[in-house]
This record gives sequence, structure tokens and C-alpha cells, in this order.
Amino acid sequence: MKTQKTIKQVLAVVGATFLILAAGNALAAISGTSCVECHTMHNSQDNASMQFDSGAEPSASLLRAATCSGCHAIPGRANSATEPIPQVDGQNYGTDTLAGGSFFFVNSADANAHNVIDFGAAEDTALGLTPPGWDNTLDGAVNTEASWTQQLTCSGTYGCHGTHDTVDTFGAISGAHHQPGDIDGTTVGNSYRFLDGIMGLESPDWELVPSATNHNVYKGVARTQANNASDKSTISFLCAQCHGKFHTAADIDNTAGPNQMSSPWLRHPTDIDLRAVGGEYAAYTFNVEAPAALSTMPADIASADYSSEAIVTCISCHRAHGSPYADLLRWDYDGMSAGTTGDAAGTGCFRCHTTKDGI
Amino acid sequence: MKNRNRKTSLLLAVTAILAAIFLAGPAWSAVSGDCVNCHTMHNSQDGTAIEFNGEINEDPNASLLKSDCVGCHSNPTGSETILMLGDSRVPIVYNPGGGIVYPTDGSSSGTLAGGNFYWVATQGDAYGHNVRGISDADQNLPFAPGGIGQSAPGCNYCHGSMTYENGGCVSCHLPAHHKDAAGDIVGQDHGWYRFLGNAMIGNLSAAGVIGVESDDWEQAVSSTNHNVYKGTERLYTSTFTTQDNSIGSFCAGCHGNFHHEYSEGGGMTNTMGAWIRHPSDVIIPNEREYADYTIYDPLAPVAKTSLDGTVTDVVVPGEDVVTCISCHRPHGSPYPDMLRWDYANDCNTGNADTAANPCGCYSCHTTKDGA
Repeated sequence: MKTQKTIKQVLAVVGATFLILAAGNALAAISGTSCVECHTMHNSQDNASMQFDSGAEPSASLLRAATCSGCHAIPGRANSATEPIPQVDGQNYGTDTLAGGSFFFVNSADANAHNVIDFGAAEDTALGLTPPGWDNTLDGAVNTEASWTQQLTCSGTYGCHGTHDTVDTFGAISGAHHQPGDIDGTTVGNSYRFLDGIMGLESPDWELVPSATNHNVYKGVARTQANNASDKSTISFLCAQCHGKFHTAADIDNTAGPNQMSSPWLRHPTDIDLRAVGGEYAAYTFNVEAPAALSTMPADIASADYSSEAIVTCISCHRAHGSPYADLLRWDYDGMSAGTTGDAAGTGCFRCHTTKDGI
Repeated sequence: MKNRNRKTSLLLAVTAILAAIFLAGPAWSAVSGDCVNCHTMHNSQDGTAIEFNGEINEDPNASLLKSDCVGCHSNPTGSETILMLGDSRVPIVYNPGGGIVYPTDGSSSGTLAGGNFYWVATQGDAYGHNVRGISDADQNLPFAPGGIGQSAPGCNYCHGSMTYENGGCVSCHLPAHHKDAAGDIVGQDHGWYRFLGNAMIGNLSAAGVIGVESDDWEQAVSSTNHNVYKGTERLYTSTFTTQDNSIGSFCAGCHGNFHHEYSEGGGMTNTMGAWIRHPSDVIIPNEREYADYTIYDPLAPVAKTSLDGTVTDVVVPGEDVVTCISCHRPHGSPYPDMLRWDYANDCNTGNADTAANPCGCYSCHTTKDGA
């Protein structure tokens, strides 16, 4: 057993080193992680279970857990330089949480995270099952129900990852983890973070330690029509598949003529280029706290250039899994105060609304 | 200055000083406070549309606001004229339930400088501007009295009434709540004085009004806590653009014939130079009875032809000007023609002016009350 521990430690270090060195590779599939981290051939080692929860029953696909959360919220495991499996239940925001945030925070309030049943969350008491802004007429909506009949899952018909043509959460991402090839949106496995059809470049450590050269690169589109959802590869379109009215509805702005994309806004715009808007927004500089997107994916993360294009997306403000803040926001909105010269100045909303703080 | 004003001014001055201490803040137009106080990103909270002032707004408002101009600047249930929206102070211009004190006594229910739309909503068309969302179109005025060239259908689409679809508060104000700049003289960089930019052109780059803004919107007004209005002594021509950044010229944008030099059908003087309409943006003479108006009376304010950013209780005949705002409250008042005082009952030549029944005319026409 001692030998196995040593081997695991070595493999973990090798894996982490590979992740860092591989930064910029547009690979969605798992790589650089030893098989044993996720799989067990017989669910047996030294006459004990190999399941992460020590369960006696083996799991499908020879995995060491039977659910998404079984691998991605392993008890006692936290994200670190040596943790090979991204854990999405970190408890220390900004320290052991990743770009998508953490489902842990739903324990504080429904509004802090998506209530994903796979992670043990109960139905949102205020929202119920149907997402706010749900538009079942949207071309690409995850399902066609007028009101949802099932609770949110990680993937599938009621989830974010994988295909949406099956309610089977495993089936929806079947094969994705080992799909070869670059991210081109052609399959779930070739999609950004297994978000079917979505494009992007992936931070190799999921932004555990983000930097100017280590961050996700999100795909956006500089829309000129509010209902233009022709580009279904943007990260915001992924969100719109459940929250369509916040994104692609024809009444997103209040200007004359239908479906324009200009102030005065009725809802906060997404998939719009800050550089084209100009004004105070021209002063935006890319920051992982409020990340902008690009319409064309660069060759690698280090080549991402936001000087001539910086697209606002849903992810610019929200953490898809959850955060310590209401509405899954990336920062404490209650601290965003017009005219402030305090700690919030220059942060959060003021990353884009650069003149509305007091500095 | 009349006797009524001395005791009142002393009381209000003390109140104003205390208010200034507690409300100390920059003299700017820009709002401060948490974004969430006024804005909603998606008009959605807990699965429903946003509720504001007890109402659910199913349709999202422009600029991601929780309500519209009237909604944010009304107090539907109380008489307070400054409300706290979170940590943001909001001046209230419409108290549909009344209870507001006029003229202000410095209390939380004191009417603000611009007046209040309560009276036009409850007493009639003459008691305030008829604004969309508060009152119906004026039954007697097809377009702004003194209006120039507003009989054409094209102009009337916007100008016939501020109750029309394109009307409302934005008929006068060009909102720029987040414009922010240094300095006590509120001008273009601040989004213009009280957001009185060129509403017709709809562009902040066009000339608007400048001035110094009372931090409490004159709720506790005194001779040393008041707005400082910008005037001009230049006899400007008929125009749709604000000239010399004067607040009187701004009013002339709709009521032009009440302002300019004589022309067919309009003007302040006849061809002989006699007044045919009360002057505005005209120097208060430093002679005769007018020379005695030397201490600022908030009931009948003057405008300064140049601003230095300070607020003074000194009126300088020969330099300062009478303006539209000297007599009117643009939002409304308890008196016809939105006058600042009861012209019909309290302005009787030869009757001494009193604090209980003040007549602002006597602030300039100092000898006509017979005192």
C-alpha cells in the first residue's frame, strides 16, 4: 500500500507538471492523469473497495464513483496543484474553488448556486424547477417543456454538460472524457468543458491559480441583433439554453426598432463588444474577476488579445456552479456602490463600468 | 428684505447648518450608493419580475432600472420628500398622498426646490406641469404657452404635451445620473445642473444649464443653503438651445415667446421698450425699490450672471437677474401657474407682507406692500 501511495504521489506531481506545461493546448479530453485516479478494474484493492466513497458496489465504466459528484466532489479532497480531478465543491472561494465556482455555496442559500440534484441540492424554494428567463421556444433550448418537471442535473435534458437529448446524465457525456482531438464543438468531448457545441480554451488548472497566461478563454460574439442566436458556440448561448429571455429575447433593449443592441437596455447585455461600445468601457482591461470573451479563438491562451475586442458574457458576472454571493455572482453585488472609493472601487462591476466608482 | 423673512431665515439657517453637517457631501449630480438600489440586471428575482414600491413590474425598464422616473422619484405612501433607497438618497417630486409641507419648514416633509407634482395631480392642470405617468394632458393648453413653432403636427408629437408617449420627465431632464466630476459648479461634466441638458437634442454635448446644487434639494432651505441659479443679462433670441447656460433660457426652450426680444407675437418688451411680459434673465436694477433686495430670499430666488461655486446670502442689484424660477416651481406648487406663493390672495398692494401669507413679489418690488 505504501508503494501505491508513493506511485500516486509521483503520478500526481507528474500530472500537475504536465498540466502546467500543457497550458494553451485546446484539449477537452483528460490527459496527463493516470487511469487509476478515476478507474478501478475490479473495485478491489487489498480486499477493500476502490470507490471514493468506499461503497461496495462497482460503478459503470469502471469508475470509482457512480455519479458526477462522486468524482467531482470527493469527500476530503480539495483542489490543489496535485489534485488531478477538478473538485467543484470547494469551500474557500478564491483559494480552492475553480473558474466555475462551487456547488458548496448552495448550502448557504439557494440563490448562491445552481441547485443541481446530483450534488445533493434540494429544489430551489423560490424558483422551483423552472429556470428564471426560461424560453422553451428558443432554438437550442435544453428541452421543450413549458415548465420543468425535473430538477437541474449536471448534464442531459435538464443539465448544462453533454447532449440534451437524454435524461441520462452519464449517457449525455458518454465518451467525452477521452474524446481525442481539439476543441472544435463537433462533439461533446470536443466542446469546451464538455458543454456541447460551445467553444473556448481551457485553463489547464481550471483557474485554480489564474494569471495573465493561465485562464479560460471564452467564446463570445459581437452581436448587432438582440435575438441573433445564430452563433450557438458562445458561452452565453450555453446559458441562454435555459435562461433565454435574459439573452436572446427580442426586447433586450429599449431603442426604436426591433432587436437592436444598444442602450437604453432593458436587461444587461451579453454577447456585445465593449470595444465597439466605447466610452467608459474602452478602459476595460481583461481580468479573471470579470472576464471578457473573444469571437475568434486564439492559438493558445497566452495569445488571447482583448485590446481590440472584449465581449461581455454571462460568465463575465456569474460563476456557473456557484459562489458565496447571491445570484452566483463573481463578486458581492451589495458592495458595488456608485461613487465608492473603498475596497470595491475598480473591482466587480467597475471593471467595465470604469467611471461609476469614485476613482 | 421683508420682516417675514428675518425670523424664518434665522430658523431655516440654523436648520440648514445642522442639515449640512449631517448631510455633508459633494455638490454633484451623480448618484451614489449600491447599484442594486436602483438597477436590476434581468428584471428577475426569486422567479418573479422585480417589485418596486409594492408593484411588480413585469416589463423591464430602460437602463436596467427597477422603475421609471416617476416610480423612483415618488413616495407612494408617505410625505417624506427625500427617501433612502438602500444607501442612496432619492429626491421625491411626487407624493400622491400629500402631507407635504409648503413652503418647506425644513422637516422631512418639506417640499423640495422644484416643487411637487402632488398639486397638479389633485388640484388641477394649473398647479404643475402635466407629466406622463402623473397627470393627463392639460385641458386648456394644447401646447406650451409661449411656445414657438409648436403648432405644426410634427412638433406637437413631442411638444404638444409632456403626457405624450415621448414625453414625461425626459421632456425637461436628460438623465445622466452617473456623470461625475469635480467642482461645485455643476455643468456638462456632471451631466448638467439637475440633469437639465438639452432634452430635445438628447445629447449631453449640447449646451445645458449650469448651477450650484443644494445638497438637500432645498428641503431645509435658507439664505445660505440654496441652489445657485445661472442667469444672463444677454437678451437672447428665440431659440431651442440653452444660451449662456441660463436656467431661464432653458425654460424658454418651450416657452420662448415669454423671453426674447420683441418680435411679432412675442417678446418681453414692445417696440417702445416697455415691458409687455414680466422680464426674466434681466438685471435687477440697482435703483429704486429693487436696490433694497440685498439678502437672498429663498421664496423668490435670483440668478447669478456668473458663478464661482459658492453659495451666498448676498443679492447684488445691478448684477443679479430675475429669472423664471424666481416666481415658479417647475414641478408644481399649491398655487395656480405653479407659482411659489399665493399670488391671488397674498399679493395685495398696500397690505403688509407676513410670514404666514408671504408674497414673493415683494422681495423685488420691495415698496409695493406698503410696509
